[in-house]
Amino acid sequence: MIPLSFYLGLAALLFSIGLYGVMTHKNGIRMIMCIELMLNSANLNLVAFSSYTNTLDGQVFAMFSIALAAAEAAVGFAIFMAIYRMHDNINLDELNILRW
Amino acid sequence: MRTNQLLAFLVALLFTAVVIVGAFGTSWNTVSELPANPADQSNIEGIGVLTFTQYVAPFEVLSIVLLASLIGAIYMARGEGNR
Amino acid sequence: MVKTALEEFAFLIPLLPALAFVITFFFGKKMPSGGAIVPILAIAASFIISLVITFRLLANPEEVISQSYSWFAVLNIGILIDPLAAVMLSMVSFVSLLIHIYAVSYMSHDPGKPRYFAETALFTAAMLSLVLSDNILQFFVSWELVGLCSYLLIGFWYEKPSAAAAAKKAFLTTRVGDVMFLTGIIILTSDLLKLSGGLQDGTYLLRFDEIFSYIPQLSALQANIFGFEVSHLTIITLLFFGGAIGKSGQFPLHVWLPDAMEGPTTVSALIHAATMVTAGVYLVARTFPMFIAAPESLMVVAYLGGFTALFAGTMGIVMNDLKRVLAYSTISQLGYMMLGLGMGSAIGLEAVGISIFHLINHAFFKALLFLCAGSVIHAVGTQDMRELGGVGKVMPITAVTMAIAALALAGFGIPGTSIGTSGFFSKDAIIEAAYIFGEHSNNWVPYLFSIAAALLTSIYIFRLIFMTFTGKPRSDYHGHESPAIMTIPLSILAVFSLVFGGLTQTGFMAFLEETFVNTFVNLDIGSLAGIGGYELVEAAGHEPLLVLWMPLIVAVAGLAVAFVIYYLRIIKLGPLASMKNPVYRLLYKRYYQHEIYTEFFSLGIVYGVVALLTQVLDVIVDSIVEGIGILTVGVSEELRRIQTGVVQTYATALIAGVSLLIILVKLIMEVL
Repeated sequence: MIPLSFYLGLAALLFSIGLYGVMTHKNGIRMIMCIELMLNSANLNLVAFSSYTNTLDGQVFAMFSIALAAAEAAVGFAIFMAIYRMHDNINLDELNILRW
Repeated sequence: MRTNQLLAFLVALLFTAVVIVGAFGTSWNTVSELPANPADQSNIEGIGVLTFTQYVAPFEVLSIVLLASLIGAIYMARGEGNR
Repeated sequence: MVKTALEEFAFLIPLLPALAFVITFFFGKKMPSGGAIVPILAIAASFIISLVITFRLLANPEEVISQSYSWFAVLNIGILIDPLAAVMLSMVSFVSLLIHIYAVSYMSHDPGKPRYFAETALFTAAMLSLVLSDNILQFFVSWELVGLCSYLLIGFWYEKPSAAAAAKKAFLTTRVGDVMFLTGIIILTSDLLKLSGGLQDGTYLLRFDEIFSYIPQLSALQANIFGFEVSHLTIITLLFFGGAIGKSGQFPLHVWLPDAMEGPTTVSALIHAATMVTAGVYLVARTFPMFIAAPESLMVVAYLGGFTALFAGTMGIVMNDLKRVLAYSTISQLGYMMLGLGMGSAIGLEAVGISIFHLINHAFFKALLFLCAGSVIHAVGTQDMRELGGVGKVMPITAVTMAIAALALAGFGIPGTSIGTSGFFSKDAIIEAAYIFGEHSNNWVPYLFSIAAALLTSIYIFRLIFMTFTGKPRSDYHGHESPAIMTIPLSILAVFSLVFGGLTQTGFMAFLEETFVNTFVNLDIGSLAGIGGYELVEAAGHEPLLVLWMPLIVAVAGLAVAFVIYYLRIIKLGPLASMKNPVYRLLYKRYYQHEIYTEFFSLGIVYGVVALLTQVLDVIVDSIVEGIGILTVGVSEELRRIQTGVVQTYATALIAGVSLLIILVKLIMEVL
């Protein structure tokens, strides 16, 4: 069977793809999508561990994590609505009032 | 590529390298054999049992959190003071 | 029973005036007569206690009062009252009491009266504590305190710029001496620590008897300075004498005394006649065993004292200010005392006796001279003798007492008998000792110094008397006799100047000799002299008749000179006593000391060096400080660009940091 570390490697890869997206994209919606990607890679990790130790706790945890991801995305989109009303676009590069 | 993208790429690469090296370097304490029957449907049943016996408290809290965040999101997306 | 009770009161002697200082300082304004009564009562009490202790010691000189309390490590605070200290205590408190009473009237018009009485009370307390301290560190602390009070009192009228400058000069000049004294103490302490093998609890390292017990070993320690082999004892005693030079106004640190006349006359009487300037002589007397074992130091003491006596005398004969003449007279007489102490290399412990005897007598008649001068100045309003004359008609009591004091200062009396003024007995003793020294070691320089200085003393003091009190008034002044509260102390001091010497001569010296050979400090002076490499002779008088009468002859000669010039006015000094005469100019300008010391040395060299250093330091320090500032601002200008305000850069930095941290930890774990 495939060793566990491959699953973990896959999750890490997914995570870094999401990370790159978060660090680079200017559009807010794209950033939220990449954050979802990172969350899902963590879920993948959880399920892999749960499978390879013959317990079900990890999968329960993963379910909760998915639900939380949904809630967080909702709130995130609501925030972006508010930002859009202020700036007429959601270009994150322009939200730099706290610069030096 | 712009410097921003290059830097982000390098950082992501570095992070991946660190995690993968860590994952492949660790000796995980795993079972030697996966369970025999992959078509066993008792997974979902087991999850359900666990949720409502051991993890019922986090379940209830999570539902309240969902509720609160949805209400908040709807309120904020509607507009300030725009009933 | 009385004895133990008395010992309990010994510590009150300096304490009461100190309390008087505090009370007068804070509450003086509200009290009548400016709060003078509190210090007077306190000093009177101290005087009574000292007198009782002195009489008790006269009866049995063995019962020295010694109380020591441990302070920290091997240092202690303590009281030692042996014959030497007892006579000094009595004299200091007595003269201080009389001058305080006098000052009640003298300072009655002065708005700063509470401050004056508070400061003189503090001064008396400090001087008393100096006299009865039983270790050299406490001595030094009191010494400094006395110097501080001198500064405060000389600059009493601080709005006058000349007074403030004089106070500063006094403090700085004595400071030079104090530094030498302190250096001596430091060398002494380090040597004692080395010799006694480290700090041992229970021994009081700097107490005088401890120090004296180490004299042979101190003398054996040699140091190599500029190629000369000198023993540590010589160095220490020379440094102590350096302190005495500053405080007692010997050459070359005598320049502050004449300027110190800027203070009130009662201050001059108290501090610069009777008490503070004698602290230097008292120091040498107190540590006399150390000086005996280091004969080179005694030689220095003798020569310097004799030279100062002559030097100051030459300047005293041309001064026109009443108080300046008396100031130079004080310097001269202090030189006599040092000379007397220096004769210890011939006559041993008796030198302490004759010197302190002269100190006590000098206190009486010099204080009297100053107070009479104050009386004249207070009544007439001017200090310049060229404007006075004929004051004797207006102020008879003052004239008579001042004449008595002048006779005492010049040393009038009949040798070989007990008839004479006090000054006669004490000065005569010193001159005799100088003669014996000359016979013993064929070195006649001290003797010549003392005789010449005696001649000059007689000249200047009778010049002062004749110019001031006799003849016709040379200017318009209105004078009247001083009130009784001022003339009574004058009369008391005059009586003492007349009879004290004759009455107590032999008893006094024998009493003082007990100081170093009683149960407390048991020294064999002969053996100490052996360390120094010489032997002592008896001071018994077997001199030829001429030598015996020489001091009187010289004094009468001086009186005659002054009489002829200033009273009969037969010889007109005219061109001789004017600035055209180079000798006169030299003396009048005080050998250009002001120019040399102040203008050239202090202002020119010292200030110049200080200014140069300040500039250099300014450049260095400024550049460093400014440089740090510029560096900080520059670095921060660059670093603030991290704050972009965009969240993604923060996220980037975060992840990068975490990865690097993990790598770092892994590497460190590998290494360890």
